[in-house]
Amino acid sequence: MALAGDAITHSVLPGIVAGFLLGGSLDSPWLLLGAALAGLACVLLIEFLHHTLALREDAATGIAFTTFFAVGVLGLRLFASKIDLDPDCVIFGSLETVVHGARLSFRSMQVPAAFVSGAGAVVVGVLAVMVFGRRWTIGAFDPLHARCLGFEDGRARAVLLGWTAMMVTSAFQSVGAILAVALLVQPGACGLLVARRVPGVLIVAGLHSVLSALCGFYLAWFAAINAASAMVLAGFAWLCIAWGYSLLRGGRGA
Amino acid sequence: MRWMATVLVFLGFSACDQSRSSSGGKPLVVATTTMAADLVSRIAGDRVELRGLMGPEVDPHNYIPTLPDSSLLERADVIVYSGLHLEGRLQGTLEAMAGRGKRCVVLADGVGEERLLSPQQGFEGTPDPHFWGDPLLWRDTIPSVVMALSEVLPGSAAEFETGGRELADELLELHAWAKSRLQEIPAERRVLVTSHDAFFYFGRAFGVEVRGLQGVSSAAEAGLKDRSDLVAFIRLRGIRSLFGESSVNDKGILAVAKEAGVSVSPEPLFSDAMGRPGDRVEVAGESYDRGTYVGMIKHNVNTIVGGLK
Amino acid sequence: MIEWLHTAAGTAMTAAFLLGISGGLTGVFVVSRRMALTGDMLSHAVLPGVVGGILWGPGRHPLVVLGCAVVAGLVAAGLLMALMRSTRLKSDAALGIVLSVFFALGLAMISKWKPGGVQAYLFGQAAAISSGDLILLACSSGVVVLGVIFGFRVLLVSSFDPQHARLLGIPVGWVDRCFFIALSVSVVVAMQAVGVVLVSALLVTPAIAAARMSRRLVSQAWWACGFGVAGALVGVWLSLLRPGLPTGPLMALSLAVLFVAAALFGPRDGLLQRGLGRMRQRRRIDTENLLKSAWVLMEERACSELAIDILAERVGVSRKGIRRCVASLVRECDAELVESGFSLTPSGRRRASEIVRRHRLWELYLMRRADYAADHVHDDAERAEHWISGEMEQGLAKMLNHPDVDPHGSIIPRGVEREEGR
Repeated sequence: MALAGDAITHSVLPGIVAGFLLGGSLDSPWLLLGAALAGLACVLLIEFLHHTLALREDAATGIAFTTFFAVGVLGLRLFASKIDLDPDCVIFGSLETVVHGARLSFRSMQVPAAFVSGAGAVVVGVLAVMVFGRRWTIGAFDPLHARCLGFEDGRARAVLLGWTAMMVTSAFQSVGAILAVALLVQPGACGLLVARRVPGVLIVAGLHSVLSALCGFYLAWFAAINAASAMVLAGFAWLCIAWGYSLLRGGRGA
Repeated sequence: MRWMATVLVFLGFSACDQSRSSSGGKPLVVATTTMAADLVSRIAGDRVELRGLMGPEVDPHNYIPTLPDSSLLERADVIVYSGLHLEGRLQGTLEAMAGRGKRCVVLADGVGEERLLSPQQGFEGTPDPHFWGDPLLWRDTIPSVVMALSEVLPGSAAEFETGGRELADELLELHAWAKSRLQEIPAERRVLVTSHDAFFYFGRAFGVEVRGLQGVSSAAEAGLKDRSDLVAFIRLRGIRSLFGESSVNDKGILAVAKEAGVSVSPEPLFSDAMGRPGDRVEVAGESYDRGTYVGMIKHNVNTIVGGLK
Repeated sequence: MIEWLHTAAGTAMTAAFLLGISGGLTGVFVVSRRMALTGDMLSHAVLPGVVGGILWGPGRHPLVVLGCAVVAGLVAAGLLMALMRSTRLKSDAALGIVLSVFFALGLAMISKWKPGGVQAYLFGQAAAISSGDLILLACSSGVVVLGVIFGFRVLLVSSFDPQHARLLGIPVGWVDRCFFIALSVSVVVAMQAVGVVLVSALLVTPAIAAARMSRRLVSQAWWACGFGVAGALVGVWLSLLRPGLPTGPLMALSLAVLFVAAALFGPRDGLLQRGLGRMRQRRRIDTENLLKSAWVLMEERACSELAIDILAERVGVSRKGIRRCVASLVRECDAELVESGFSLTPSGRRRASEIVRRHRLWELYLMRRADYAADHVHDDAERAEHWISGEMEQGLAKMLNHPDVDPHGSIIPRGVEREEGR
C-alpha cells in the first residue's frame, strides 16, 4: 500500500487550497481538515474506480491523484491572490522554519505548534496500533487468515488509510508532499529488511526514523541543503546498510 | 512518529544554538535581500557584524531558507527584511519571531501606505513589494534602520545617524540623475518590458511605462494568454527591446521576444537582487560598483537607456 | 503557418499534439505492462538528472538535460530492480523508496546550487516552450511512433506474454530496456509542459480511456492517441482564455473528463450501457411476470380475456404499471387489446406456458434433487424462470422423467417440443 501514500500526498493539495480559502492562514485548522478530507476522497475514488470500473489498482491510483493534484494547482492559481501558499511549499516542505512558526504556550514554556501536532499524531498512532495492530498485521501478511478470524479487513483497512491520510496531512507542512512518502515507506522497509517478527519490525522502524532524522539534520546543517531531503537521503543510507545486512544474512525472504 | 523525532531533534539543537554568543561582541544584523544588506552596510559600516541571507542572482520570491539560515535568524540581534511578502517563504517565520520579541525592521513599514502601489494583475491584499525601484522610497526606509541599530548599539547612535544622512543625500542625487538620464529617451519609446512586474515603482518615479510577463511574484507561472497578450502589446507599441532580469529565468521573456521579433537586452536588469559586490563597471565616464544599491540603479538606468533610445 | 507556429498558441498547440501522440502511444504499453506507477516514479526520479544537466551543460542545452535525465532514470530503474530482486520488499514499497530518494537528491541539489529554469520542469511552463524544445519533442515523438509501428508485434507479445515472446526468439530483455528508455524520454519532454506530478496524467489517462473503447491493442493505440491529443489541445485552448491559467493542470483535467465520458458511454462495459442493460432486463422480467400471472388467472377463470383491474388486484401492481407491461406485450405480439381488457395471442400463450413450465420444473428439481422443503421453492423459482434456457429446460425435464405435476399439485404445461411431437 506504499503508493497509496504517494497518491494521498499529492491528492491533499485541493483540500489544502479549500482549507486556506475557508480559514485564511497557514495555521488554520481548516487546512488540516480539508487536506484529510481530500486524501480520503481520493482513496475512495481509487476504490470506486477499482471495483466499479474494474480498473487495475495502479491505473486507478494514477488517474485519481493526478486529477486531484491538477484541481489543486488550478485552485492555487485561480485564487492566488487570496492564498499565500506558494507551490514550492508543497514540494520542499519547510522544516527549517516550522520551529519558528506558530507557538503555543504551555505553562511558561514555548512550544512550536508543529511539535504539539506531531506529538498528538504520535499518541493517536500508538493508540491506533494498539487497537488495530493485530488486525493490520494479519491483514497485511495473510488476508485469508484475517477473514477467517473474522477481522473485517474492510473496516481495518479503511482506518489504516484514514490514519495514513492524517499522517500525511500533518507531515505536509514540515516535509512537503513528495518526501512524506519517504517517511512513510523507509522506516517500515528498513524494519522488514532487518527484523523477523512484527514487534522487531516496529522497533527497527522507529529507530530508523530517529537515526535518519538526526543524521539528516547534520547533513542539512553542514552541507546547507534542504532539511527534508537531507533526512530522506540519510534514511536511504541507513536503508542501504540494512539492505547489506539482509543480503549478508542470506538474501530474499531471510 | 517520524515527525516527532524530526521536530524533537530540531528543538534540541535550536535550544543549544541560543547559548552561542555572536563573535567579537559586535551585534549580529541579518539582512535578507542584497539591497537590505547594502542598506545596513552603508549606515552601520563596520560597527555591526552583517550577514546577508541571499546572494546575487537569488530570487527572494522563491528563496527557501536552509538550516544554517534558520540558526542565523535565531541568533540575530536585528533582522532587516523587506516585507510585503517579497521573501514569501520567510515572511511567516519572521512575523512569528517578531511577535516573540525579536527586533525586526520591516523596510516596507518605512514607506507610508499611501505611497505603495497595488499590483496590476488584480492581486487582492498585499501591495507590490518592489518599492526599492524608487530611490526616494528607499530613502524613507533609512530612519527605521537607524533607530533599530541605535537601540542595539546606543554608543554609535550618532555615527548611524550620520551614515543615514549621507546615504539619504546620495539617494536624492541618484533620483535626479536617473530622472534626467531617462528623459533622454523619447516619451513614446519609454516602455519597459521585463520578465516580471518588478519595476512599477521605478516606472512611477521616472515616468517610464512598465509591463511584465509574469505578475508580481516570479513564483507564479506565466500563462499562455499572458504571453500572447504581451506580444500583442509589444507589436502595438513598436517596442524594440525587452529586458531580462538577473534573478529570474529568462526563458519566458526570450520566447516572447522571439515571437514578437524583437531582441532582449544583452545585459539583464537587477530587479530583486543586486549584482556581485565589487563588480565595478565604467559606463559613460562614470564608474560604479554594481554590487551596491546605487550601482544597481545606475546599471538599470544605463541599460534601459541604451536599449530604448 | 510558420508564423503561427511561433506564437504562444501555435507552439503550445503543436507541443500538445506531439505530447498527445507520444504520451498516448507510450501509455498504452505502460498500462498493459502494469507500469503506471513506474511512470510516476520516473518523473520524480529524473529530477537529479535534470538539475545535473542544467548545471553541467552550457546554457541549459535541452539535449544535455534530456541525456542526464534519461541516465538518472536508468539508474533509478536499476536500483528498483535490485531492490525487488534481492529483498522481500514488494514493488510498491520499492517504487516509493526509489522515487523519494531520487527526488530528495534532486531537491537537495536545487537547494544547494539553485539552478535557473528548474521551475519549468517541476511545474511545467507551457508558455516557455521554445522552438528547440519543440524540435526535441517532435524527434522523440517521431521515435516513439516509428518504434511502435515497426516493433508493434514485438511489443505486443513481450507485454502480454514474455515467456511466449522468449520462445519466439524475441530478446525480451532488450525490448524492455528500449521501452524504458523511450518512456524516460517521453516523461522528460512531457515534464516541461505539465510538470513532474502530472506526467502520469498524460501517460495513463488516455490509455485507460482507450481501453474502455476497444479490446484490441491496435484500436486502443489509435484511441489513446486521439484522446491524448484531444485532451492536450483542449487544455491548451482553455489556458488561452484567461491570463494566469496554468496549462498543465487543465490538460490533466480535460483528459480526466474524456476518461469519464469513455467510462460512461464507451462500448466496452460503459456505465451507461450497463445501466441501460440492467433497465432493459428489469423490464423484461416485469413483463414476463405479468404474462405469467395473466396466463394463470385466465386458466383459473377459464376465460380468454382479462380486465386490467382484476389483474392489478391479483398481482398488486398499479393499473398504470399493468398498462405499461401490456403495451409492451402488445408490441411484442404476445397480447391483444380487447374491449374488456386484453387477451393473449397464441405466441403469448406459448411464451407464458414456457415460463410456467420452467418455474414448476425448477420447483420440482429443487425439491427432488436438492432436498428443498415445498414451501421454500417458490421464491427461487420466481427468479430462475427468467433465465432458464430452452436447453436447460429440456435437460431438467429429462432428469425429472418428464413430470406432469409440480410440488403444489398444479399441472406442468407441456413443453414446446413435446407439443410438436404430439
